[in-house]
Amino acid sequence: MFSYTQEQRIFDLKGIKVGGQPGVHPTLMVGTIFYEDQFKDPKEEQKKAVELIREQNKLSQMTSIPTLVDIFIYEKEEIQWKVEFALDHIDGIFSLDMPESEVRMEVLKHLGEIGALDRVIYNSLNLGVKEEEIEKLEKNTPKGAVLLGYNPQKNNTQGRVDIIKDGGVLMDEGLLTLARECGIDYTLLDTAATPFGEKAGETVRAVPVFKNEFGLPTGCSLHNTVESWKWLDEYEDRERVFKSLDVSIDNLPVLLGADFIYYGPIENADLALPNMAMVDKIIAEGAEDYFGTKVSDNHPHKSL
Amino acid sequence: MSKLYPWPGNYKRGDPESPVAVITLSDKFDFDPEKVAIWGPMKTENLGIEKVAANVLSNPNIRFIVVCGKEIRGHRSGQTILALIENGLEENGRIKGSKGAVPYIENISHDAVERFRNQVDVIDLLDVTSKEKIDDAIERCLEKDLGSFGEPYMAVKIDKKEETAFEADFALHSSLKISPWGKISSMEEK
Repeated sequence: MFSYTQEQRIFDLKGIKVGGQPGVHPTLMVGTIFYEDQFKDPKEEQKKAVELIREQNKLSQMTSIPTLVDIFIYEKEEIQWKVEFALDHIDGIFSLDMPESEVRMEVLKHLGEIGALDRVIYNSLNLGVKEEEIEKLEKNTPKGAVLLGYNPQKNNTQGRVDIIKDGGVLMDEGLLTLARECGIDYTLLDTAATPFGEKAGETVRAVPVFKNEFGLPTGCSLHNTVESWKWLDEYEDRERVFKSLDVSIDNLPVLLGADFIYYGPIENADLALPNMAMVDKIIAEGAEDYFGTKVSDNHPHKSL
Repeated sequence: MSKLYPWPGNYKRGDPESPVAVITLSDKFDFDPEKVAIWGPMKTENLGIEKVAANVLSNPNIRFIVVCGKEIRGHRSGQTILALIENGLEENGRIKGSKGAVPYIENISHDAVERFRNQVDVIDLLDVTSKEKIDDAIERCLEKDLGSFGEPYMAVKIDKKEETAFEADFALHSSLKISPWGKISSMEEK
């Protein structure tokens, strides 16, 4: 429903286009495997994950919504087998979600050793980055990274912009400069979902501000905000309603131009992808009719 | 005890005269409300810890924090609160020795953090999920009875809403201009 004056960069993630003016390319949906407690029996993990990736791929083809797989790595011990799993079962780019700096550094080393750095979106480069980690990133540079705009010191939209742009008062330089100095090609900006009561709405507001300020693919993972809703924990029919809200909250940033969404556990692909196909159709139709936007060929607007 | 606290959050309250608070991390336990002042999970290594600190500071009767339950993977909020009490903060608000993802304290002052560290002794039961062991630890805290730490401490002002003097024609943000035709541009652009 909107169009940006600022030129919008489009990245080609080995065949998947992300970024640009609203309505041109469908939203990139990223589903996560190996969440904590996703699988109870570790032996079943890989087998189940293969099925879930296959299902996401099938739904992606069916809906024309592009997808990536995001792999959670919590501990150093998990690095080798999870990376090996990704290389064996995923074509093209994949995202590695590593909350801890120590783990991220080990992953970089491992990816460098096996020559897989060009396959990876590093999730994420954030305020928690240490000098030692930057040195590792310079030496073993992943092809892409999610730059997380989380700013606990100032969590309104401007504070989130600051973390990306110049680091605000918490960092010596912004994450975007850091990423560029390291030589990371694909910089995906994440407006950093915060819980209800902690300026959750700014996560959405920051989407057009980021796109206008930086002209780079922008997105977020607002399903985390739904999880923070205490009221919902007490709701009688929680499971069913939660799934619906978990998916529909992603419509808000996309309406304002978000280019990618980390939609949470990959099991939700069956709802998340058709939902996004519908949203993308509306946006593309509006953009084409009103702005004369040229919608890409592989888009639900044309295929569904 | 301050009338303004505790901060809203996912917790239960017992006797405010009790010297014990319990952080259950990713687990859910219930405790005897006559023995524990406040208890609940704690997910994040930044905002979660700030809320715990603010609530504990508001009640000087609380002298012990039992940190138990399964650690929050990635966030490492349990390890982080132990590190905070052990080591304190770096100048920029980062919690010294934390292994968590983004371990920063920003919404309460360094003075408040120091007071928090002095007010409480921490009982490290990280990854302990045996209710019996946790109850034993609570009993041992009750036996020690350190007494009140003094006056309630206001770590933050509750009413911290920002006064934003935006004009009515800022549709989304002060840096953005949206034309009636839906074109988004920067304010300075014509």
